[in-house]
Amino acid sequence: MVSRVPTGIPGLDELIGGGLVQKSTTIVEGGPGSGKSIFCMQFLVAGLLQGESCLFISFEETTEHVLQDLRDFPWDLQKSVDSGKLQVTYYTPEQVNQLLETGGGLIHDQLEGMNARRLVIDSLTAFSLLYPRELERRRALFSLFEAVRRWGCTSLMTLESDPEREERRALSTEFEADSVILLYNQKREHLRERSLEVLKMRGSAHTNRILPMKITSSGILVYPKESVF
Amino acid sequence: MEDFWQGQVAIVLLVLPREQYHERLRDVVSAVAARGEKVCYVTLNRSYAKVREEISAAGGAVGQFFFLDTATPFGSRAPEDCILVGDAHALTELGLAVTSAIEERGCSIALFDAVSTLQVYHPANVVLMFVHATITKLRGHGTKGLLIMVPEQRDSPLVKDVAMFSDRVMDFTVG
Repeated sequence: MVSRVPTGIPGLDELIGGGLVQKSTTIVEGGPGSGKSIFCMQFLVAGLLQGESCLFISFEETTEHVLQDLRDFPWDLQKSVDSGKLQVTYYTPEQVNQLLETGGGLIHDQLEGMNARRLVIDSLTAFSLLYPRELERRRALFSLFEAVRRWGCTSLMTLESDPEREERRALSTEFEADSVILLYNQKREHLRERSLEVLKMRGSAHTNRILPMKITSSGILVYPKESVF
Repeated sequence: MEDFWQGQVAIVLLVLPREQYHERLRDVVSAVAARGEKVCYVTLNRSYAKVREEISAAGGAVGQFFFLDTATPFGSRAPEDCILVGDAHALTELGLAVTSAIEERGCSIALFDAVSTLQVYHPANVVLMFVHATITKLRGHGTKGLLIMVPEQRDSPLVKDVAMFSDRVMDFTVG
């Protein structure tokens, strides 16, 4: 029996066998403004509501900016930070690279100290930019994924890409992850419509439909019974 | 139409001639209003405010209607009895609004005024997909559907296709 972790995204868990496989790694991929950070924080909030400790690692924004960007949602993140249940930590990619070279000890210690069950890394793209050469990038990402697996949390990692582009090819990072969720923000004449796709999910029978998605004042909603036109 | 009101016939396609559209539509809306059921009025041609005004002027019980409006642009304040979809291009959004009208507002009849207007914004196959999906949704919820079409010409292919998914066709363009 596989243990599953609720995503906290209404409408999604019923489409992926009840939630993410515990301790799995998931890439949340999409273009700018597609809702990746909201998705990831909403996932952490689901853990906080169950009394779990959670860690959000940002490679692009400071802790203050992360909390400020998400302040309009009814999650009271500052309260969770003040209680120590949620830690939002900013590392430059160079710092993480150094950490990985030494086995990722500091992050592991942080996770262990908190007894964290859920981890978000935002974003893999910022991390990848350290490595202009493809081979180095692959090795570094492989090391990062290995470390994340060792750390033993159920993990989400964001990746910036445009999933709609015809010439899109599967990114090497997608092969490393257990699951890949794509967030679309498609242009339809003069408006945009959001949708979500579960591209891959190891160990789970998942839907292959592209589903309507909204970002509301309460967070992201997925509509499992509706269609995208 | 008694079998429609009793729920034995679920989906009726009403094909109205262009020159009689307003007159026939008034009759349809009056008949619907007289039933006392909660109606989801999907207005694709005119603003909900205009439709509301006309129903009220004709003595209809406006409170029976819940409106989905694709004609009024985004940015306007949404009233209590309306979802402003804001754009007829937004079929996904319109689909979500239909579900909301049925599940959250208790609408037992959905009236589409008019399905043919969607062809201005979408290719015929997309309109047909949307209509088919919507009819399936209505049937699944036990909601009755009145689909109004005002074709440019008789024997319109879209009318024929929508007719396939309907339980009954009432064609006012003939005879």
